[in-house]
Amino acid sequence: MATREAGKKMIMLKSPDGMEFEVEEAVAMESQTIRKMIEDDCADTAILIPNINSKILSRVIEYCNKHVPTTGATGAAASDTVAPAALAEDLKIWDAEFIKVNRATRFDLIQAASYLNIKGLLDLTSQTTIDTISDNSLEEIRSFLSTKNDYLPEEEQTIRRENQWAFQ
Amino acid sequence: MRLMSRKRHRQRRRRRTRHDGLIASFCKKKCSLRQQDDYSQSAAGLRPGLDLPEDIYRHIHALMPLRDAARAACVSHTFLQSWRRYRNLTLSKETLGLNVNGIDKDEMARDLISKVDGDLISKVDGILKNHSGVGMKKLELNLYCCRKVDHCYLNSWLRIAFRAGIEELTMLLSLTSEAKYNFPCSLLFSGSEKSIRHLKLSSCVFRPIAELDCWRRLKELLLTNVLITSDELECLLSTSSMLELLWLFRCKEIVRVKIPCQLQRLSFLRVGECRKLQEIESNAPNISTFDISGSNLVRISFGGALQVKNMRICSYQPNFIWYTRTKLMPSVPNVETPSRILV
Repeated sequence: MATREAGKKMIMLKSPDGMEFEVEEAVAMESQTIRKMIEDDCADTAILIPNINSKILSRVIEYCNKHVPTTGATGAAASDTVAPAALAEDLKIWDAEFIKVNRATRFDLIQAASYLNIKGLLDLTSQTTIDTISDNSLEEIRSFLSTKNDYLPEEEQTIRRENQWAFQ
Repeated sequence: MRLMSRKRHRQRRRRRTRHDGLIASFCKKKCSLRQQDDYSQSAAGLRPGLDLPEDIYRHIHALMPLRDAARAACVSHTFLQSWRRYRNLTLSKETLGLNVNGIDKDEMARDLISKVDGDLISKVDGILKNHSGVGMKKLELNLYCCRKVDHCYLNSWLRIAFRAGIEELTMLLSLTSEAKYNFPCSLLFSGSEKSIRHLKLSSCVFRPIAELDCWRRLKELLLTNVLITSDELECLLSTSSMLELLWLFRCKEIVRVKIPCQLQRLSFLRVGECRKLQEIESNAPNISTFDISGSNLVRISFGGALQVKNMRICSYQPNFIWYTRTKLMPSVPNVETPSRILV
């Protein structure tokens, strides 16, 4: 249930595997999907997140907790004395550590970020994926993304010819 | 933030979860996020991270740099469709991999330069003609290094961009081109969608149409080495009420810049080295940054605009410096940053 602690409104998020996470409303609202529910007055008790298991949901909350605008919610990083540039640099370093996960977890995080509409997390996870596949061959990209080559041989030849410049 | 994780009545909830297909809320006020079909394969969470839904592939593809995005189009049909709708096209020697370092210094390399120019044009042409026209929001054509571009190509590229409802257009042509390109305003407004928000042009002729409503969404206008008369500029400004930034550099036909009071949002005005310029009259009330440079004496009046906080004057004309100190500065009492007056 939603509760109040130290004047902060709390929201309960629940994963389908039975875990409950009590988070500040401001943290939960980093997700535009949840924000809309709260603004539509549909979230004064608890919110079931049907598609995201507890392991991934806890990582998503960890991300939102770090990225919520600073009003004391993020502990030491919220200090008024820290310059914005230093905060941004701190976040960048933190993001780089946060995203050091295996491929399966990263893909789960991408889907969670997309589903919950958390732009920063979606861009972070997507960009990391782009960096990973940047210099790979087409076969390696297909293998990494688990996507099949669904071109007919002549189709593939045509599209490769059209984009030959990008392989030079 | 306090994060609590608890397992309560886990087995009971799991049973109910199975029965309800994850849709039912566990609280008295029904409140749960909609289950998406894409994610329905795993009762305990997302699809395991082996493959991704198509919309995520498209998101990843849209973030790729141009070259990577073009290569990825060869991965599968999903990526090809995304490439056909690529949003931000920045087309230049650099992004198309045609960087030939040091070539300009070599007189013997003229033929090679000409070949690179030809390659650039044919690649830009291929990319734009194969674009579906859907989803394109930004087009940047950096052709300042091409001494000769057939104007028919430019027209056809802009036709594709305008039909797509482009929002941001940058077109930089060569300073040394033999004949100046006449920017086709009529094409820009042939469609019903007057969508252009950002327009940056260099080295062309720009004769904006005096049609009402044409420029109503324009926020930024940057013209460098562009032929446009004072009257044409005034006419354009009178219909661009959303304009926030105006930048005019080396526009040699401009004698007078007159900014109407309807431009309530205009906050940045920079005018540089327009050699025939004699007068700037601004009635826009919210200009906060004003920057002028050049060698001629220019009469400046701000009308009711007393908001200017940042001002930079750069001139080789001693009379202009005198004019600035004695006449202009007293009329803008809100200047906060020390104005730089350079001779």
